[in-house]
Amino acid sequence: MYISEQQLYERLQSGDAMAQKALYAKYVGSLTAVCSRYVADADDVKDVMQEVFIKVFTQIASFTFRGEGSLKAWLMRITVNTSLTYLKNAGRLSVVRDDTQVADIVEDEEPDAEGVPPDELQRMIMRLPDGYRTVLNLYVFEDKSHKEIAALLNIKPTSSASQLFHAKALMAKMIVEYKRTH
Amino acid sequence: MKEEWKYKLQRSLADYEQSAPDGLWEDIQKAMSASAGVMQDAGKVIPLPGKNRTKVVALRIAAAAACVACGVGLYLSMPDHDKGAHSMVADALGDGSKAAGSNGMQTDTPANGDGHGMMPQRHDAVGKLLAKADIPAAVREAISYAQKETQTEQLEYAPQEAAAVAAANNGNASIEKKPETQANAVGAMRESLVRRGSNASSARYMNTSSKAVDVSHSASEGRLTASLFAANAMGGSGNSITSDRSMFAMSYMMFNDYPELSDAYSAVNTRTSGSSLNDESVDHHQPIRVGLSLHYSLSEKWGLETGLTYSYLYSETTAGKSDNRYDTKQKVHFLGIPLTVDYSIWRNKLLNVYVAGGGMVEKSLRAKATTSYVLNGREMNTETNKLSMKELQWSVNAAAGIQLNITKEVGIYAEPGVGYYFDNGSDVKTAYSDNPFNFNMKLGLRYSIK
Repeated sequence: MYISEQQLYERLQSGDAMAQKALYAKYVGSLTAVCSRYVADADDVKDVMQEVFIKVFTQIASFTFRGEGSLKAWLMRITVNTSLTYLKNAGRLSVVRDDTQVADIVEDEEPDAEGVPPDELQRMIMRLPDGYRTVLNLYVFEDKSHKEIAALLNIKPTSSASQLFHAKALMAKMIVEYKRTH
Repeated sequence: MKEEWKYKLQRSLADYEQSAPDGLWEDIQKAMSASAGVMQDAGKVIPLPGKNRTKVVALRIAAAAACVACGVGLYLSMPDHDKGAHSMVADALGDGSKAAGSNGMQTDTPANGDGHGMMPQRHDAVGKLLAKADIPAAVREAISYAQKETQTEQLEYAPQEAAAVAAANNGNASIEKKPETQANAVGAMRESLVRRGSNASSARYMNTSSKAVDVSHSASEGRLTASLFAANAMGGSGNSITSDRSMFAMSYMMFNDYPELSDAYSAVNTRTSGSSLNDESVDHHQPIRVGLSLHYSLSEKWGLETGLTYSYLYSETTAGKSDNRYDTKQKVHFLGIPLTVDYSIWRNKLLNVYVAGGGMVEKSLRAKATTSYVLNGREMNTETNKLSMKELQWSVNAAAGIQLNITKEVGIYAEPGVGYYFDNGSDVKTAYSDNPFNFNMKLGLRYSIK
């Protein structure tokens, strides 16, 4: 049976156990990938993911369906927010506050993801320090500006830029290393 | 490109999935039942509220145009317009398959990462096919309407997604207002398309229907024929089309597939949105139809046919990836009553070449879906649900046929045709609803009663 997002949404609203199972089966892979990119540690990922799905199942009424794709976007948003909250509460974002000036940086070292398998890239991101990783995630995958990231993480925009610079440099290094050995 | 590294990284991980943590589902269930106890077991399908009516209207217009095509086909085959009319549909099929063959590779790879990027290619394939195929203008028009409809829908998705993000319970996302105005513009565009479509097709419709009435008045002598047939519609979406012919016990029937054609035409399927392709793959097997029909000759040239058909529609859906997924096998059985008008273009004792057009109403007799869930690599359980499809399924069909008379009473015939299935508003998705436009081939045995 073809289950569209709208059907899933309608059925979730009535607490349909089958729809909950279907939603889990359909999206858990993508959501775990996103969550792992933020939280990295496997045990923590499990805790966060549990919270994500409970939020989804209990707060589906607060979501407004706006066409195919909107449910997935909402699930992704909840995953990112829950992951960020988790990192904040665990004190793992404090490192972001230690900023270095990047005004004098002329040329960035840019990571070239082309030709690197997705699971390798994912592993590389997960290996980044919490602060770098968080800023990189928000900047690259959530398309946030440094101003927005600064507001989200309660830091200065220059700190965000500096964290991203370090994240990029580390990623570039790992990618070069990977390409050298493969 | 500025920040190319960013987009490369984004693209590389866009569809990335990771295995869920062990025991996550069990923990969620425990937590849910502990906190609220709301995990009720509901084995029924909850009906959906009304769908996007605009889309339905547009599809109906496309279908009306197909109906007009049938009328035009009959009109062209009147004595003065005899030239070339009989081979129209056959030509369309022949040229079409060539066109689809050369573009086939572009159209049948929906899982290629970027679903949105794929759509223009599909449109392109249809465009080329239309340019080459000798398809009646009204059918072409119908397809181009449906195409435009798909395009506007594509445009609409992006702002909808952005707006949905704003609605998420985050409290920290900053989204611009711009998308909403975009959506309005798209809405206005769609409306004007619909209006234009209804004027054009209704005008032509009147033209042809008056002719049909004229002729039926002159009908005098009757001749009754019974026919047994089987048909398969070359519909199909998803990544592959698999045919299941186990239903056929009748050995004299042969079937031809045109999977390339149907793939190219599935581009007009408005439900094939790029975003859902990554999460779910639907494979509608070819509908199988057998039937019995009665033909009544109104005159030498004109005839009416009705009867009873049985159709079997089988679909397989897989959502999620290997470790966490659900697989659904859906079976829908339809009983239908067709009504067609046919016109003989040329006949002698041995052969009869004709065109036919008409409509059919079908009622779902039985529909069920068996879903098996795999969570964390383990098969959890399998559920079978009865689906309810109360809505009638209406369709229109235009065909060209050739009959070979074996004896005075018995003849065999082959009828390639094009059909269109109206959206019946049901939430049960079938090959009809997902591939409303289809090519079909009907083969059968006709017995003249008197």
